[in-house]
Amino acid sequence: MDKKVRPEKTTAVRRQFLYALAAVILFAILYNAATYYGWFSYSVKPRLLNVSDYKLYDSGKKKIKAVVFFGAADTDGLKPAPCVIFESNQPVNEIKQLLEKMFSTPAAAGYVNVIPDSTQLREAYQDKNGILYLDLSDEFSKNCKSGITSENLAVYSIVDSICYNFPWVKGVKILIDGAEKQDVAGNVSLEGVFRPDMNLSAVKL
Amino acid sequence: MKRNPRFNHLTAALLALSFMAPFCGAVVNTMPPVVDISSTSKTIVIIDPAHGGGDYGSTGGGIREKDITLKAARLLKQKLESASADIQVFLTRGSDTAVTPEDRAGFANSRNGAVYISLHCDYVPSASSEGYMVFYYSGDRLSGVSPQGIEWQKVQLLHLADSTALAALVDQYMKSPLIAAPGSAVQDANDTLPLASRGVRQSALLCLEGVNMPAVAVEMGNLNNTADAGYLKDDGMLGRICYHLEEAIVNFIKGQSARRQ
Repeated sequence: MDKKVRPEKTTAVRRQFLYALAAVILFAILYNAATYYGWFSYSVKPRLLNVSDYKLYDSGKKKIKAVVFFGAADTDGLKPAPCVIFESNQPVNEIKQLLEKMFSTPAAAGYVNVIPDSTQLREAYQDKNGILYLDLSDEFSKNCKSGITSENLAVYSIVDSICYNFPWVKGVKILIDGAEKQDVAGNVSLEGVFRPDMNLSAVKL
Repeated sequence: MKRNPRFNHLTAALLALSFMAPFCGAVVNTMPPVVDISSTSKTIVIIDPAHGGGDYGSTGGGIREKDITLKAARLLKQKLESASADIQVFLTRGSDTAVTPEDRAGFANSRNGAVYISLHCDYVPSASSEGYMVFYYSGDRLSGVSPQGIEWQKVQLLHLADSTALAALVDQYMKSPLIAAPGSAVQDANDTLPLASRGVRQSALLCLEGVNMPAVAVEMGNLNNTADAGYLKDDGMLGRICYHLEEAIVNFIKGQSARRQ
């Protein structure tokens, strides 16, 4: 009996299919290895929102006296400093002005910088429960000196400044580069919502 | 076409490998090895030398936090076990390795510890700020507690009263003059640490939040301060700091036992 012979075309198609399958498998192995060993990163960073591109205030508007908390040069706590912001129809814009001042003002005599270098505010928004979400650039975490006190001061200089001036803010949730992060620099947890800690400056809310 | 069995085997192997690749070593277990403690009736103390491995912690004065905390943890273990035969001490890391906060807490909880003490060196932006500080977990946060219960990561909230008492006791013993330990280099009869107390404070600390027992973190000094960095570099001084810590822990355990009886 004659052995059944497959047509040449079917054999070629089968071979091509196997080659394609092998190529896909090889790609999967290389892709998994590359992501595991960090040869490349496929995460897409959200677009940076540079607050200075937006009009946060109108200098013709009413000026509001505010207080920001910088690090004290002579203690391990925070020290209040007066500043001025402009009234805005959107309360979050007033907060953005305040933070922009904090991040850009160099420490005056009697104060030390506790906000990690090059930290930028990416966005700030509030929810209906009075929680303010602050999206900071990753320099906040990357450039923060590891140490419970330095991390606490970085967090609470922001949290206390906001809650002192804007009593409707019940708590502050800090995000880094648009996402939740476990800690600031190895010690202080960022997983929860922060309420003000006025013990750091001995100022009453 | 004659099927090539070798080609088929190769395809199958590649297919299996491609599916296994993401799981190969993707989860790095940093948990220290399990020790059977079921037979022990001793009081378990867990000492946590902060940071380790690639995580140096704070740095300053030519020293790294991870090295000082490990050295202090070994000294404290030795002192505690010499002070009482009823105390058994475990370190969350015994060498220069990185251990995650979850694994440190898991290690402590699985040993049913009575006390957890996390050793740190601080970095205060103000270089003139000197001394040690004791921290306990901050429950003053909006998350972690809900009417339904408590998140397991925030189990430390259940021990806040004891942790507060432990923090106060550690601060008290650190700043009090103690009778010098036998063999100590201290000339006077009283051993008073030259480190100032920066007090007791609450903080949302990652190293404490999952720990299911009274727990504190001790910042033994400010590495941004020349005097403090000098003290922490000195093995004799580190031994004296550990002696004060040991006395605080032993007295806390005694107080806990007395309350139970």
